[in-house]
Amino acid sequence: MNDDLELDVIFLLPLRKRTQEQIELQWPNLKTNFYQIVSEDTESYNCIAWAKDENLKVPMWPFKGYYWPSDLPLIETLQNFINAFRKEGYEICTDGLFENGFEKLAIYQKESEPLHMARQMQDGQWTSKLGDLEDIVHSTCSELEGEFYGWVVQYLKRELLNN
Amino acid sequence: MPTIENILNNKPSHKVTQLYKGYYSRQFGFCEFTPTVEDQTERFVNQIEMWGICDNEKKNHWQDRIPCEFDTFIVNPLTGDLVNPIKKWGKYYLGRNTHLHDLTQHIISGHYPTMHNVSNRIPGNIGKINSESGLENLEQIFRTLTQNWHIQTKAHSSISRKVKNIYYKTIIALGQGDRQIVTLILKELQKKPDHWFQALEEITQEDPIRKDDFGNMETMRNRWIEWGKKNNYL
Repeated sequence: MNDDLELDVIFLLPLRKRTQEQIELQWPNLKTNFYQIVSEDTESYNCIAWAKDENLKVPMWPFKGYYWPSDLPLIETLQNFINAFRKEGYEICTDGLFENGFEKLAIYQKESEPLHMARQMQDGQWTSKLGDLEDIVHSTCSELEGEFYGWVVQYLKRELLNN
Repeated sequence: MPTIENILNNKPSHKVTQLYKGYYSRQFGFCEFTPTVEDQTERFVNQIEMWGICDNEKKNHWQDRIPCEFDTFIVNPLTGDLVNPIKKWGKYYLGRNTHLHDLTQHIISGHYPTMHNVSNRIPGNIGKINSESGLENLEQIFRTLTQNWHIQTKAHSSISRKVKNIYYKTIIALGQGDRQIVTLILKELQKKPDHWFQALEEITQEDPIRKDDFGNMETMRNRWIEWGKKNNYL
């Protein structure tokens, strides 16, 4: 309950100041680790689309009216998310450690509900679109773990074609 | 023992509708409960007075009081369904479920205030709301709900989380009672794309979006704006 109050107070702050504070309040692990805000906020795309393809500027979610592979059901299960990314050439893997020549994704889940995805970049850092908020670069997946997005329950990887 | 939700959901909705109609032209509101009035009937009327939380005057009214525990709930007056209990509003937090039971008993037993009783007891400006100021108030309520919806869900990618949010559901309930909400939503959509499609569909029971449009926020937005113009909402 107190956390909710803090969140509301944060949103009353001027926009510029609030962005960073809001992000750090929502994901407190970011406070003590490196991260960088690298975009403006937008509703035009979300974390799943950003994980799939940074040029895919649509919100992707298994929900009526939103972008999702047409032959997959509109259900929010881990398996459905994995299946959606299998179509992109990803396979499940055991960890998020950097492997040269591979691109990795992390799926966050809370109470059996997938809530977020992050993508590993070629320098080993991770990138996330925070809902309708900004894109950030963060050093590890664990920085976004917690009550809000849940915890990483599955890693995926695919070989980079241009490697 | 039946839950509050069960009791309210199983009661004829016209009782709730009458209750709200008698008090407020918008047929919608929040009830806040205070234990400060001794007389049962008087207390009930005063409790009803407290709803309409987005009204600044009533907020200030609360600020003059010693904060007390109270319950807040939202009812769709057209169906009588309890939309959802909300945990808090502004700086006032909900406490134990002390007085919601009283209201439930009033509704069940039919001892709710009649339109005549309420209109006679409405204090101050609350009774002076006409259709014009009612619209102003509706806009204010809508903007506050929208702002709170954004606050709570902007960091979510999950569309389900966005559309299941209590403030979003409240806007839908509000729209089902008053179609002017559709205009307000469409005006928001004209300003920028946002996740209003589910709300519009639930309120209007229409769906102008084609399968080919799925995923394209800009196109979906334009479809609804076109629909709004065609159906005189814009």
